Amino acid sequence: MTAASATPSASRWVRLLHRAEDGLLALMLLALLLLAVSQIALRVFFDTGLIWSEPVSRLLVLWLALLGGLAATREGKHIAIDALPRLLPPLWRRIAWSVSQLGAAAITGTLAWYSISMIQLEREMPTYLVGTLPNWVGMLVLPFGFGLMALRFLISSATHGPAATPELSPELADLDDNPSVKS
Amino acid sequence: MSDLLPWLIVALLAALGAPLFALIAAAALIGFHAAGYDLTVVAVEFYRLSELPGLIAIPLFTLAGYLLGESGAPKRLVRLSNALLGWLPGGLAIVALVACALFTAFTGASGVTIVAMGGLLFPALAHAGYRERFNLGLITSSGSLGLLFAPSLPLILYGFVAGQLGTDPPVTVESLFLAGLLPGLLMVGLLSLYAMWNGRHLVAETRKFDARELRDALLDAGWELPLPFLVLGGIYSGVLAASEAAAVTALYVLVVATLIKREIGLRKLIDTMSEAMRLVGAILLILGVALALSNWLVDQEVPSRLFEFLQEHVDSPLAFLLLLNLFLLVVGMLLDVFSAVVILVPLLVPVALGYGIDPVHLGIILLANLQLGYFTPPVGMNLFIASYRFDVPVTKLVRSCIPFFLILAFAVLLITYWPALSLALVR
Amino acid sequence: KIASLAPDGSTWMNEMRAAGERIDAATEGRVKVKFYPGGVMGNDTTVLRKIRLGQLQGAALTGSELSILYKDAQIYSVPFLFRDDAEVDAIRKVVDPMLREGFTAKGFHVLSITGVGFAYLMSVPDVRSKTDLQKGKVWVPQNDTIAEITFREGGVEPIPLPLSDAFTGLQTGLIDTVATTPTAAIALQWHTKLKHLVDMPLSYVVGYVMLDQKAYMKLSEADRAAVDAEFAKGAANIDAANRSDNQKAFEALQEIGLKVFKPDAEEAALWRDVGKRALDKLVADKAFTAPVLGAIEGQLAKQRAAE
Ligand code: NA
Ligand code: NA
Repeated sequence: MTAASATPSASRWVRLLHRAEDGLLALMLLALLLLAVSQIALRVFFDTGLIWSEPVSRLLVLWLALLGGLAATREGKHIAIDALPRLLPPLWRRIAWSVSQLGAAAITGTLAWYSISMIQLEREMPTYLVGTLPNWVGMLVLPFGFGLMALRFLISSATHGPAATPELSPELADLDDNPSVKS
Repeated sequence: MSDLLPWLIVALLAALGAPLFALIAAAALIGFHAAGYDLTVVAVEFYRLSELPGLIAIPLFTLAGYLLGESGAPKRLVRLSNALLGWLPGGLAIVALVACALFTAFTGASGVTIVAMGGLLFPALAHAGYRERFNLGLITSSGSLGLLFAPSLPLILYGFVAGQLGTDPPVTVESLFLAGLLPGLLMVGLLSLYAMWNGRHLVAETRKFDARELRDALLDAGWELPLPFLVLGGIYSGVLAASEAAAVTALYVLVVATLIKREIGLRKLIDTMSEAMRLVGAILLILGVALALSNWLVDQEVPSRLFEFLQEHVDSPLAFLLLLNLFLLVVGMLLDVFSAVVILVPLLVPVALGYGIDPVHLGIILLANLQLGYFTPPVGMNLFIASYRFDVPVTKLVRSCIPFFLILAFAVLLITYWPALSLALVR
Repeated sequence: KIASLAPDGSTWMNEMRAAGERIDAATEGRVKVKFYPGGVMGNDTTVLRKIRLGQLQGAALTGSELSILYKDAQIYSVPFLFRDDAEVDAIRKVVDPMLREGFTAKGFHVLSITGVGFAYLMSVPDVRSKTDLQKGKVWVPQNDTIAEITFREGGVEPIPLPLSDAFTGLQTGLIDTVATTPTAAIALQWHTKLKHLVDMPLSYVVGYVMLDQKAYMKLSEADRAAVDAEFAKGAANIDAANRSDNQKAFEALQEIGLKVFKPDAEEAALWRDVGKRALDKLVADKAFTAPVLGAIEGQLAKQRAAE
C-alpha cells in the first residue's frame, strides 16, 4: 500500500512487515485486555490483585500509542485539517501533501531526538517502573516510534499523494452493500 | 520577525493539511524553546501519557466499538429498534435516531455511524416514503448523535484532560458519563418529535405493533442487549470504574463476536484490532503532545491572562457562554472532536471556573457544541462522509441538514443555559 | 517555580504562597516564587525530572514522594515510631538537620520540613485486630515501600494504587482500608465512604519544600537569607495549623459518624510488634541510612527513659 513498490519481491517484504506490525498491535491489545480482566477477576473472586499490573498496563498503553501512531502514519490515517488542500487542483494538492509530510517528518524527528535526551537523563538517575525494571526501558518506544514515523513521513512525502477521501478507509467503504431492513 | 517565523511555518503546515499531532508538538517545541527551556521537557511531558490513571479505557472501548461495527450488530440493533418503535408515527425515523445514537456512543463519531448505519437505514427510510432530503439530513446529523452517551471516546478524553488539571469540583470520567445522559436524551427527544411530525402522514409506514417480531428481534439481539446495561449499570452503580467497564465490555464483545456468533474470524480479528489501534494511536499521540502544549500554557500562565483579558470585556457568565457557543461552533467545524478537546480544555476550563461554571457542565457544553460542528457547513466532516457514502453533492446535504441543525442548536442552547440538566445526576 | 501535588487552597499551599509574597517584598522583587499546585506539573517523578531540566526550581512534596530521590526522606513514616506530638517535636529537633544535609548531598536545598500529621488506619469494615485487617482490602500509595512492607508484615497483601485512583477504588470497593491523616481523609472526600478509625498513630507524614541547589546558589547571600527566613516562618505556621486542623478533622470525622476504636494495651503491643518487624525488614533492605536511623532510635530511647 505504501512505499517501495519498486520490485515485486520488495513489496512482498513490505507487506510482510506490515502484517507483522498489525500482529504486534493486536497482540499488545490482547495482553492489555487480559491483564485488565484478570485484575478484575482477582479482585472480585479472590480479594487480591497483581502489584505490577497497573504500571505494566500503563506502559502497554504508551507502547500502543506510539506503535499505533506509527501504523496510522503508514496508512495516512492521522487526523488533519484538510479543508484547504481539498479545494486545490491536483498538482497543487500533491505539492501541499509533500510539503506537509516533510514538515511532519522534521517534527517527529525532533521528538525522537529529545526522547533520546530524556532517556539519557533518566539513565543518570534511574527511577523504577516495577521492581528492578527501570523506567527508561519503557521509554525506549519513544525514540523508536517517533524515529520510524519520521522515516515514514519522509517516504510518503516522496512516493504517494493524499487519499481521495482521507477520513474514509477502504474497509468502511466495503460496508456499502448491507441489506436494507424490512419495514 | 525571527520570533514569528517558526509560528508562520506551523500555520503554513496546518493549512497544507499536516497531521495535527505534529502541529501541536511543533507548537509545544517552539513555545518551550522561546521560554528558554531544555526541549527534553516536551518528551518528559509526552511520557506523562503513561501516568494518566485509567487510560486503558480508550483502547479497550475502541476495540469493543470496532468489533461491534464489524459484526452483525448494526443489523440486529436496527431490527430490534424497529420492532420496538416501528408502530409509532415517524417510528422508523426514530428507530434511525436511537440506533445511530447508541452506535455512535460505542464507536465514537469517527464517521463509522454514517457508513455502517446509513447503509441500512437510508434505503429503509426511502422505502417507507420519507422525503429524500429528510433522510439525508437525518443520517448526516445522526452521525455524531450519541457523543454525550457513555462510553463515547470524546467524553472519556475530556475526563482525562480536564481531570489532570486538578479542578475543584473535580472532573471524573464517571461523572461525565452521568452528566451526558439527560442532555443526550434531550437531543434524541427533540429530533424524535421532528421525526414524528415528518412521518405523521405516512400511513404506509405506520404498522401495528407485532409482539412476535419483537420477541424474535429480542432473541436475535440477545447477545448485544446486555451491553448498555453492562457499561452503564456497571459504572453508574459504582461496581466498575470506567476503565474496568471498558475491559469487561471489550472481553464480552470479543467472545460473542469470535466464539459465540462466530462472525469474525482470526484474520479479520487481527485486522480489526490493528485498525482500532491505529485510531487509538492517532488519538493518544494527540493527547500526549497536547499534554506538552498545555503544560507550556500553564507554565506561561496563559489561561489566567486570558481570563483577565476576558473579564475586562465580558462581565457575566451568560455572555461568556454565548461567546463560547459561537466560538465552539467554528472550532467544531474546523477541528475534529479529539483535537478540539485536547487543545481547548486546558485553556477553557480555568477561564470557565473563573466565571463559576462547573467543569463537568463545561464538558457537556463543549461536546454538545462540537457534535453540531460535525455537520456545520461548509466544512463539517460528516457532510463529506455522507456526500461520499450517498453520492450526493455537499450543497444538497447542507440544505437537507438545516432543520436538524436548528433543532440541535436549540438543544445546545438549552444545555448551555440550564446547568441542572447536566448536573442533576452528578452533584 | 515550585511545583506540588498538594491541592490549591490547602494550608500548605496557602502558607507557601504567603511566604512567597513576603519574599517578594523582602527582596524588593528580586526573588519571585511561583507555585504550581495540584499536580499540574505532573507527579513526583515528573516534577523531579523537570527540576533537573531547569523548567522548575523546586518542589513541595511529601516524604514518600521524595523517597525516590533520597531514601531517608520518609524515615518519620516508620510505623508506630512515635506515640504522640511531644515525641515528634523532640526527635525532629535533632533529626531534621540531618535530613537537610542528606538532601544537600543530593543537590537540593531544603527550605522547610513540616509535619503533615499522623496517619491513622481508616476503613469501611470494622477493624479491631490484625485478623480483621487481614480480611480488608488495604490501599497503599504506589512506590510507598514503607507502607507496603508494613502491611505485608501484618499479614496483609496490600493493593498499591496511585493517589488519584484511591477514591474511585473506595467507591468501587477495590479497596476498603486506607491509612491517612484526618485532614486528608476529609479533603479527598474519602470520609464519605469510610466508617471506622483505629485511634493509634500509624505513621508520621512530613512535607518538604526544597530548591535545586544550583538555582538557590544563584541568589545573592542576602536574598538567600530572606528566602530561608520566610519559609522558616511559614513552616512554623504550617506545623501549628496542621496540628490544630488534624485535631478538628479528627473530631469532625467522629461527628459524621466514624466509629473510633482505641486498642487496649495488649492489642497495641501486637501492632507495635508488626511495626518492629517492618522496621527490621526495612533495615535489612537498606531502606534508610544507618546514622539517621541510629539518631532517631537513640533520641527516642533517651526521651522515653526520661518520662
Ligand atoms: Na499539562
Ligand atoms: Na474536520
